[in-house]
Amino acid sequence: MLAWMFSEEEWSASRRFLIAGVFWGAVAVFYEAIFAWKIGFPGFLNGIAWFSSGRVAAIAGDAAVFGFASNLLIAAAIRFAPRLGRASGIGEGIAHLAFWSWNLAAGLAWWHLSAGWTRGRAWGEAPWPSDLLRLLAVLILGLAFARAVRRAGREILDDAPAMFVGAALVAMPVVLILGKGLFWPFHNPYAGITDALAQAYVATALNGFWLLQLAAAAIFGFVPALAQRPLHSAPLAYVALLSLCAFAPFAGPAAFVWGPVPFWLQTIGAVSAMLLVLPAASILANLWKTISARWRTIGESPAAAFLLTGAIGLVASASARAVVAMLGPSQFAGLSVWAGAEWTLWMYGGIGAVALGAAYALAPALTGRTFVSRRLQWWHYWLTTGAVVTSAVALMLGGLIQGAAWASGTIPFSASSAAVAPLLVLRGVCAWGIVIGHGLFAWNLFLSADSGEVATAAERELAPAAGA
Amino acid sequence: MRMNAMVVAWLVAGALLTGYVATVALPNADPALRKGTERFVALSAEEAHGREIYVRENCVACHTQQVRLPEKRFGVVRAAGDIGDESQAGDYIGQNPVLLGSLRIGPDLARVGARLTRAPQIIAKLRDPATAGGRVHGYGFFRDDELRDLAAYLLSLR
Ligand code: HEC
Repeated sequence: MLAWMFSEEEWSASRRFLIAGVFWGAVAVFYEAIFAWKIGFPGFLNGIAWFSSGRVAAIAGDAAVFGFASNLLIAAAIRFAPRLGRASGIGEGIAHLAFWSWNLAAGLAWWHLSAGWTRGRAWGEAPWPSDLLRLLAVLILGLAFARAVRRAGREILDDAPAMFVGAALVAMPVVLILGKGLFWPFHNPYAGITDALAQAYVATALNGFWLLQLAAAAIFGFVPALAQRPLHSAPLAYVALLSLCAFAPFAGPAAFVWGPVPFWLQTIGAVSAMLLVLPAASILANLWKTISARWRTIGESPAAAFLLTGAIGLVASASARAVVAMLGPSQFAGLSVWAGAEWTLWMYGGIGAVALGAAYALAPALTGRTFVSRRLQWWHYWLTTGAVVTSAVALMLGGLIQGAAWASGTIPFSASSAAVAPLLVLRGVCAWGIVIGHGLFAWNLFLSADSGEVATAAERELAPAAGA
Repeated sequence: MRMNAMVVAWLVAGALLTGYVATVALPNADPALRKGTERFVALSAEEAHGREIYVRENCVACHTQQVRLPEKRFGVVRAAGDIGDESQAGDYIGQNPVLLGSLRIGPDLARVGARLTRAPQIIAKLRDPATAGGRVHGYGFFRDDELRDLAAYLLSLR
C-alpha cells in the first residue's frame, strides 16, 4: 500500500487522494468522538494540552472538512475531468503536486491546532501556512482541469459532474482569499462585527461552493454508473448550480438571527438559508429519479446506498438550518446544541456519506480489486447511518430542551445542562460508533487492495450506461 | 441545453463576489457598525494576553459571546437576567478574531465579568474539574500567569 503513495501510473493521484481521505477520515472521526465524549464525561483526557476540548473541536472540524471529505471528493473529481484518449485528463505529475500540497496543509493544520496556533475563526481555524498550501493545491488542480477541458475541445458542461467540479475549483480560491483574508501579511484582516460576517461568509461559501458542489459531482458521476442508467435530468442539475449561486453567497448572516448584526442582513441571510433547501432537494430528486429506474442498485451496492443517504442528509441538514434561520424557532433552537445536529447531519450524514459512497465506488476502479467483504461494507453503512440519525435526533431534542429552559427566564443554565446531559452522552456513544464504522471501512479497503479479487470490468470503468 | 465552461466560471465567481460585497464589504463600510458602544473598552496588556489564551484554547467551541435580543436581561445563568444586556455591533470594535460563537455547551460569556467578579472564583472554575461548579474544564496545564491573565480578560467582559 505504501508503494502507491509514490508511484506514478495512471490514476495514481486519484488513488492517493482516496487513501489520504481514509486516513484523515479516521483522524476526523476520532477527534469528533473525543470531543463528544469529553462533553458527556468531562474528566476524559483532562489536563492534557493537546487534547483540551476546544483544540480537539477545532481539529475535528478541520480534519473532517479538508482531510476527510475533501480528499475523497477530490479523488472522485479527478475522475470527472474530461479524459484525453483513455488517460486521465489531469496529468498525474501535476496532480501529485496538488496532493502533497493539500495533505501537507492538513498535517500542518493538525499540528498547529494541537499546539494552540489558530486563527480562532469558525470554519477557518487553520493558520495561514495551511491556507496557502490549500490555495496552491486548488490552483494547480483548477489549471490542470481547465487545460483538460480546453484540450478535450468540448463543452464539458453537458456533463454534470465536470460542471460541478469546475465550479468548485473556481470557487475555492475566492473563498480562501476573500473569506479567510489571505492578503499579505496573512493575518486576519477583518475585525469586529465584520470578522463575524466574514467568518459566516467562509462557512456558507465553503459548504455551498466547495463541499456541496464536489458532492453533487460525485452523485451525478457515480449514481448513473452504479445504476447503469443515464442521469435523469441535466436541466435539473443546472437548477442545483443556479440556485446555489443565487442563495449560498448570501446565507452567511443567517448565523446571527436576533444577534448583533443589522436586521436587513439577518433577513437576507435567513431567506437565503431557507432557499438553500432547493439545491439540495434538486440533487436528491435527480438522484432519486435516476436510481428509481433500477431500485435494486441500492440493495446491491453500499456505494449507492451511501450516495442516496448522503443526498437525503444534505436535504435534512439544509432543512435543519432553515428552521433556525426563522425568527420564531431560532429563539428556541438558536445557539443551542441544535447546531451540533446541523453539523452532524451535514458533515457525516450528508457530505461525508456522499464522500464514502464515492470512495466505495472508486476504490475498485483505483486499486483494480473488488472489496473482499460486502458484509463489512454494510456494517459500515448501518453503523454510520444509525449513529448519525441517532445523534442528530438527540442533539435536536437537546437543543429544544435547552431553548425551552433558556426561554423560561427562571431555569439556571446548569439545570438545562443537566437535562440534556444524557442526550449528549448518547451522542458520544454514537460518535464512537462512527469511529468503529470507519475502522471497518479502512480495514476492508486494506484487505481488498492487498488480496481482493480482480475487479470486474464494470467496476473498473465506472461508466454510465451507453446513451447517457 | 448546454452551458459553456466560461459561463459557469464567471457565474460562480460573480455570485461569490456579490455575496462578499453584500454581506461583508457593505456592512464594513457602514459607519453605524463602526461606532463603539459605551460598553466598549480597550483591553489592558494582561487582558489582551488572556484573550489570546481564550483564542488559543478555542473556548468559542463551547461558549458564545453574544446576548440576543429576546434574552437580554432575561436569560438565566444562575440568577434571573444575569446573562446581561443585548449585544450590539459596537461592542466588538477591533476584536480580531471576533468570538461570537454559535453553540452553547457552557453559558454565554459576553457579560461574565458582571456575574463572576473575583479572579480566584474564575481560576478555580478553569483549573480543576473537580471543584464545585467547574465540572467541564481541565485547564490544569495553564501556567499561573496564564490563569491570572485569562481571569483578567473574563472580568473585563461586562
Ligand atoms: C467542552 C466545552 C467547554 C469548553 C471548551 C470551555 N468551556 Fe467553559 N464552561 C463549559 C460548561 C459546560 C460550563 C458550565 C458548567 C460549569 O461551570 O462547570 C462552563 C462554564 C464556564 C465559566 C463560568 C460561567 C458562569 O457564569 O458561571 C467560565 C468563566 C468559563 N466556562 C470559561 C471558559 C474558558 C475561558 C474556556 C477556554 C479556556 C472555556 N470555558 C472552555 C464548557 C466549556
